[in-house]
Amino acid sequence: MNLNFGKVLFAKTVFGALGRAIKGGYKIDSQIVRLVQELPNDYTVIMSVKGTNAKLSFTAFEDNLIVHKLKKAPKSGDLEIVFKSIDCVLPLLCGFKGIGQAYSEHDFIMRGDICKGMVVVDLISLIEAYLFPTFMLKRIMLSVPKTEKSKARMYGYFISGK
Amino acid sequence: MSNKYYEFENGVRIVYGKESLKEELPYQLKQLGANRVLLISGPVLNRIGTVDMVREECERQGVKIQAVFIDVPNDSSLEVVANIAQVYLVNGCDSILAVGGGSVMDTAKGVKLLLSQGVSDLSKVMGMNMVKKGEKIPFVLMPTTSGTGSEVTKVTVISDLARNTKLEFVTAEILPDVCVLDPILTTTLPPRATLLSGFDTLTHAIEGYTCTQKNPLSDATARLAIKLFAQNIGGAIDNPLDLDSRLRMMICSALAGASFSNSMVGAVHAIGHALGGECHLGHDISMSILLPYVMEFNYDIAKDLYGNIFRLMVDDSTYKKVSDKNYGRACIEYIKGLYCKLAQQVGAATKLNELGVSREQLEIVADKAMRDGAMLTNMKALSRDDVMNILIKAFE
Repeated sequence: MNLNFGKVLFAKTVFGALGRAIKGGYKIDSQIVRLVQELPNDYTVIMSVKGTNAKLSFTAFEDNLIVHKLKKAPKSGDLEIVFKSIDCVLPLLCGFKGIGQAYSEHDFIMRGDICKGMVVVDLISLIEAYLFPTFMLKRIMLSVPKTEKSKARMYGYFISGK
Repeated sequence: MSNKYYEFENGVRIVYGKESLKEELPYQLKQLGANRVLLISGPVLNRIGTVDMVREECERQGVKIQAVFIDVPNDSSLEVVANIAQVYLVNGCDSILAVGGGSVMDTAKGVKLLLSQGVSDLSKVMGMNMVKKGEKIPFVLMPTTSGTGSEVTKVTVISDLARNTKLEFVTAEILPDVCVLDPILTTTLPPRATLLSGFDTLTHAIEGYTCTQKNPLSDATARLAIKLFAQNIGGAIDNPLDLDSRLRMMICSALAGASFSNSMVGAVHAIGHALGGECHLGHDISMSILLPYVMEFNYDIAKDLYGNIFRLMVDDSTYKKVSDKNYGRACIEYIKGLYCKLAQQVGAATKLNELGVSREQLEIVADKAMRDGAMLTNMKALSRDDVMNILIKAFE
């Protein structure tokens, strides 16, 4: 199997999981709700990887959050975070690098309001805090955000959707 | 040195020295193919004759100044950028020359971006390194302060007055082709402005040297900038007509700008931007007041780096009087003391409450600061409470 194909498939899988986690986080953690509410109504955020079709996208509304399935993902958004290559995004998706470090190391470019980008960074950091073990988080983040619910609760959402 | 990936970019031709206005500016404009120049500047520089001096020199050497815009306010805004772009188009200009401080240069960068990208709304090209190569427009900057370093940075900050916020644009597309540093243009800078713009430069260098995106090349430029600042800020304030001090401060400003443009800044800028957006404070005074308090916050992580900065700023005898465990602390005290001493000399504020900022505004400033991109690259993570503590210490 082509290695690049494998990497892209992995990225798409993890983006899918991140999307599910964002949906779950919105249901269980009021911090995530507040972050989503900081975004303007009908505001679409897209995280993608240049040269591939791996993508995570969601649209924030005043009282709702829609995470788009890959096949129905919008082509453009209000805020677009584009990783320069598949090799740039993999460390983030594997939990070897936080999004703050990815920013420091120029792994991605961004179109849109940088202030709104900071909201998305905080959102992704909170989701990472739910998904990755604490010992990994301490290595990749200057400060690990506190989640309102336990990791088990998030994984429970993954399994049951509730 | 780790094997981390770094980036350092500075495609600006920097022409610097005494007489560079006369000997180089018109030549550089001609080399860029500038036939109908739009000259952008501010009302004060127009009143004191700087605009006329530049225009006359250009026209004397055969460079046509097609149009002049001299109403750039202290804070550039989307509306001003749009107005100037109209002036450019209506007058059939083909190049831009901006002469002024940070707000003039930032405004000119916004104009260049708007025109080269062919958009009517600058907010459509907001972001970080996402803008594609646009139409070629010869673009020259001549700073009259030292300074924001805007003449060599990939960043411009423009106010959105409707939303009471500052918009950041990060792209190499706003770098000028040439910047001309002639110290004669800074001799009219009053002592207070010399101090505040100097501390703005120092903040750029220190934050560039201590942020999470620091790299060997940005460190080198930051270190030299810090050394030049320490050696020349006093002279530039005490002897405003001393061209040597003035030139070295301009070089300091350019080096500090190159440093932070290729690393990043940190919490001083994040909080300073918020103070500017909410309380309409000048960028330079915000930096000057906030710097030591943010350094105190960052101390436990950055103390070794502060020790290096202390070494660059003081002479041997002062350095030897401090024990090596205390270099970092001594650095913060030195900078705080230096600013207070010079601020008293020139009549500058040392606390935010002297500038009309209210306690209630600090809460809004803290919220906005948390959303500034520069917060991400501060060496130590800050919570909102940390930002409030810094603001309260800086307030009274």
